[in-house]
Amino acid sequence: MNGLHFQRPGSHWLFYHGHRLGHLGCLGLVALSLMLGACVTYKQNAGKLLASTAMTVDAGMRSWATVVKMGKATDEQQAKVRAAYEKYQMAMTVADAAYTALVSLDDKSLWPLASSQLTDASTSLTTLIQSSK
Amino acid sequence: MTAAQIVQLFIVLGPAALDLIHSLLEVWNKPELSLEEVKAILEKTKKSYDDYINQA
Repeated sequence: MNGLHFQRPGSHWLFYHGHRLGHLGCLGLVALSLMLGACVTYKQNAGKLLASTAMTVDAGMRSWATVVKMGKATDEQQAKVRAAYEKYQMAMTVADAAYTALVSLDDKSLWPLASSQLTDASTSLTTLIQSSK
Repeated sequence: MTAAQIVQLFIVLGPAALDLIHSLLEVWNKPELSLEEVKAILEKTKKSYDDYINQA
């Protein structure tokens, strides 16, 4: 018997590679599958957050560039948005590295702080663009 | 993405927010987003401040 199969006809036991699993074994398998699922979801959400933030800031900056081209932004406003965008770029570089470590090395230590700083920087930038338009 | 963030996008971007929201929904509705797909999106949006102004 290879692999895992559940609920043989007429039986209430689970088998894994030919070994009958007790209740603790079953619970262990369920816990393991839940942990793996949670880990995959965590990584998926990290990637989606990173991509969404990049797309949102990109749209905001394109919108801001139109305002600048129309001559509706003062030099002071432009300097502030430029500084906020550069701060965002640094936060994105750090978050990108943290995401790569999370996915490639399963290193979760960097992501929480990096994602929080990225969210702060992108929110500051979009709020500044909104208030300057 | 919260309702407040969507409203903020509309205020900041106007009608262009619809395209963005559509793209965001595509990302979030994907069952899996690979490392390569994420990197491709990041690469596409990696521009300097002056790039944005010059391309407007």
